[in-house]
Amino acid sequence: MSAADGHSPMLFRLAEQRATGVLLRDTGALYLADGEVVHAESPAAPGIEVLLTAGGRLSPETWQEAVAAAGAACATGRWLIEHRRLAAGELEISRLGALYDAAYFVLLPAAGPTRFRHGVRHWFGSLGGVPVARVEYETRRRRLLLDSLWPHPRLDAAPVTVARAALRPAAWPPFVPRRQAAVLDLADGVRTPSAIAALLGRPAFHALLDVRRLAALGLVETPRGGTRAPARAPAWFQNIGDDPDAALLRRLRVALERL
Amino acid sequence: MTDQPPRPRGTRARPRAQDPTKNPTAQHTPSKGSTKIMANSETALKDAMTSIEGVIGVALVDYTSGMALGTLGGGKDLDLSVAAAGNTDVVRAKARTMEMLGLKDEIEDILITLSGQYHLIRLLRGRGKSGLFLYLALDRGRANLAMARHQLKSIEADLEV
Repeated sequence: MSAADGHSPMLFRLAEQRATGVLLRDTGALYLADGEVVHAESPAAPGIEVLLTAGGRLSPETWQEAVAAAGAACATGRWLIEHRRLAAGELEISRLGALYDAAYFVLLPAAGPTRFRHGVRHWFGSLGGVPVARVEYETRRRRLLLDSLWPHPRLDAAPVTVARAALRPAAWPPFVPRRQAAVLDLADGVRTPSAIAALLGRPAFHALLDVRRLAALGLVETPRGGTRAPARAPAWFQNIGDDPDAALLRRLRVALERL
Repeated sequence: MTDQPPRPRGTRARPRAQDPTKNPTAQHTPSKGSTKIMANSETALKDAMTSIEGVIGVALVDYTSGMALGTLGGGKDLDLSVAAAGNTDVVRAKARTMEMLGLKDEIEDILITLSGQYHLIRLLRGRGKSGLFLYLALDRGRANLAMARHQLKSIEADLEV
């Protein structure tokens, strides 16, 4: 389990043991081979197949062909290169992009308990791993970057709602970059940043950045409550058991039961 | 690697079919493609480090997220991860300005001249590489700027395979 700074002792221990298997958390899974991260997936991050096919780089048919031919042998990535569907450099770049993107969500401090299953391999196949320390560093950097833009982590998972003020064109800043405008166009009060990213075929983290920037500009609604944890009950309520009034109520109940 | 037992020495460059019966086409694949599977970007960065005169460090960076996909060189005086993340703001600001001006042109490279160093940012183009830049820090006293720009161009071409 992660401490507040995102440091995961279990992950580092697995790295030291050069473990192979899958690390499972509520937000996704991290695949290790020989103690290095070779793959990551999360429901919050578009998978590599979405990133490759949404951009038109690979047809869905080609992707399915690759999975059918080499998925069982855990060598889908290798198949794509060997059959000249993708250049090695290109695949490496999209693979790393998808890995860090999903790892960000898997390693969120609030991602719940961690389990590890030894020996599990991913069907995509590993084309070289990334050291655990490197993944941890990048995840932490991303968290700090988001907070430096607009410190409201609730925006990351909440439906993106266009701010009422932004519906009046006069309220718009003189210029919204094309990439952010595309995110704003898809904000319908239902889709989360991850859903918007999947529609655009972009990594989820890119959408998180754009949503925070748009919220900072006042174009996207910032969920109320911000970064604060749910408010604690007032002290009188926490000590209610010791309160003389509660004692009175108990006596009353006893009296009523005797009637 | 995908296989569990340690592989024998010298087999790294050859494509290994996991299961020849299931994947017969892997047999007649030219080995050239698979030598680059492992570390294509790493090779490109190594090329930059060794072939360009006066280079201090080099990084391959995703400029939307600020992530360094790979770095080489640098050292105590120049933290390349920090430089990579910081320079994404430079690229973003320029791209934004061009968009505001309505310029349809694309950025090829950005040069920042310090009194002791050159910092060269080359935006990559082409399939699957958009959104990335190569970042090069050069010692101004030893580097040949025109030559470095030219070499960076050919390293970009190598990345494409």
